[in-house]
Amino acid sequence: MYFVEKEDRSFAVKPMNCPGACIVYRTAMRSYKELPLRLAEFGMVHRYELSGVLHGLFRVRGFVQDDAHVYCTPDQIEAEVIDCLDMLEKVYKVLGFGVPEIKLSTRPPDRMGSDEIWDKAEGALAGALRNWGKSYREAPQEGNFYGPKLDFDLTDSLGRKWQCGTIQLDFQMPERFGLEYVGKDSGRHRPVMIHRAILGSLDRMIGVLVEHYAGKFPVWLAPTQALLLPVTDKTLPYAKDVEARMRAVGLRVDVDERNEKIGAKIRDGIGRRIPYLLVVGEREAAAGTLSVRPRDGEDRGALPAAEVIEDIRKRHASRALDL
Amino acid sequence: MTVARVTLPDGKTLEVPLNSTCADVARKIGPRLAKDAVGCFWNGELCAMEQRITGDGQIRIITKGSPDAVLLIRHSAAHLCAAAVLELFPDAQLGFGPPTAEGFYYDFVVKEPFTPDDLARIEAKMRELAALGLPFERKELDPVAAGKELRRLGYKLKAEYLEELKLKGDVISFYVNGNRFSDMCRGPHVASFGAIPAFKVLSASGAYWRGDASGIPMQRIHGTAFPSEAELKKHLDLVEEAKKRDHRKLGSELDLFSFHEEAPGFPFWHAGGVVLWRELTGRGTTTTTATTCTSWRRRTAPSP
Ligand SMILES: [Zn+2]
Ligand SMILES: [Zn+2]
Repeated sequence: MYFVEKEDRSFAVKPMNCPGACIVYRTAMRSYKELPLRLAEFGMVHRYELSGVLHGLFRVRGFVQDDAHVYCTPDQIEAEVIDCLDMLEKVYKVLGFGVPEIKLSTRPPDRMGSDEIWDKAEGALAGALRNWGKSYREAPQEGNFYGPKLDFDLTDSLGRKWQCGTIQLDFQMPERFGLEYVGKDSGRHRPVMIHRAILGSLDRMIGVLVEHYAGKFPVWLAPTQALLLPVTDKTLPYAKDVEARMRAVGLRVDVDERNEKIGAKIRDGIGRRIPYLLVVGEREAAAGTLSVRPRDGEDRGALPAAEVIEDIRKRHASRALDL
Repeated sequence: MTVARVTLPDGKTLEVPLNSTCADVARKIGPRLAKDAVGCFWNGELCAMEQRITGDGQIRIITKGSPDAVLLIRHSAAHLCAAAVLELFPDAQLGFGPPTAEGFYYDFVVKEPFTPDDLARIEAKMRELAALGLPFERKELDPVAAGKELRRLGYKLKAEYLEELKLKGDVISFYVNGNRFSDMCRGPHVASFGAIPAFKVLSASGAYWRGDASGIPMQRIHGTAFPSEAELKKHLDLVEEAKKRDHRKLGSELDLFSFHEEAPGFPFWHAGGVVLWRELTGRGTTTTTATTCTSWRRRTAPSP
């Protein structure tokens, strides 16, 4: 952790988001009607790592988590976990990963909480997994002392595993922060807390995505989605016009205006892993077409500009993985 | 207490007399499993089937065909690597050498860091020893005799480590390969140095004795081993491909992000990288929260 002293008080640079969520929970007297209460954030956290172990985006000292904390009753755990699993499945699919490897870690010998709550919590996690219908591995005794958990490993295009997602039940933090809600019976009860992250560290995920795709991002992620390549100065105005039309529909596009041979421009575009290289010669300018060279696969030849723009726009909007 | 409760991977438990071996447990589960067992995880640690059970714990048995069986090959290759290093560098001190998800490593105290040439010689020596066969033979000693044996072998660090554990009544196992090499180890291994199907020495890096950065500096040799040459080649190709697409390299080539001495461990995001953030989160990114003091002090005059 990183510490700072100011005005005789010591502060830590936030190493985790969870306590902040608990403090927000505590700002009001909660009723059972408000549960499940879901608090999500992209929260930046800081962890001190020895300089020798730092490794690009995989091992950093500050990173952002897609963190959420759900406060609920024990009876609501299963439905909440089912929701998390749905979201997780959607997100991994959009990113182009297959079904993750799932691990259910259950009660360790040293633990807090009654057997009753553990039975309920483990039953809810297993029930949610069964509902989801994906196979999972059980890791007896590998749970946290404060609750059972699910971990999700993604497999990248080189077959490497990356532990990214996690759904962890927590019986301890609500106790430590004195979290309560007023139940139907007007009595005070302690909520269960669910920590969940789908990508884990955003920074690390970006590193994983760069390597998974070898820099050849799908259209929706590619920083530059298309590059217009005027063959000569004469076709520059047409290229600029197409650029404006593409920008108008929200596409990220550039024009290579340099006074270079078209071959060199194409080589540079390939080097930048840009999904679409759009060659603009005099014939294209005259006919209102674009010669489409997708990053992978065959040249598509000259196609009407409006058609090309619409095709790329659709792939961007639907987050298609192919070009 | 005269029995130990053993938890199986499915959560079921069975009881065995204390001082039974993991092999006894396997036999109790079924003769087929006992026959196919090549090693196990006892309380999460890789062990030979001869491992004594001295208390309650969990077991996961590794069978011939299971994915974990490759750990035996890698474990054995780590011994072979240490044997080769000691033959070429008789003054080297041995640290530890476990199998990993990708291969194995072994740590050594040596006068000079290993050069690429040294690594090639080590690999050649490994092949020479493998050609001799050299079966792994298990030898069990009590902790005092084991300490003496380690001193006799000249394994000072391991001897100190063992003495520090202050074990009583335990069985310490050694694995001996003919008159060429001996190492304190829980096992398991393949039958002999000659039975390691495919291996390769990959690189050397700095390490510290027991991971303590203020402690004794060591040299770590990284290598890998596989059940076949084809699988080894496939792995090496993947490693090569992973190097090509290393995100640190691609990150700067594609102008996505960069790393700087002003803030080690904090990425600096470029415009292209910010697009990734926006697509993934619907918003941009925060810039780095910490940089060295000098990068603030460098500005001597207020900017306009
Ligand atoms: Zn949390
Ligand atoms: Zn060994």
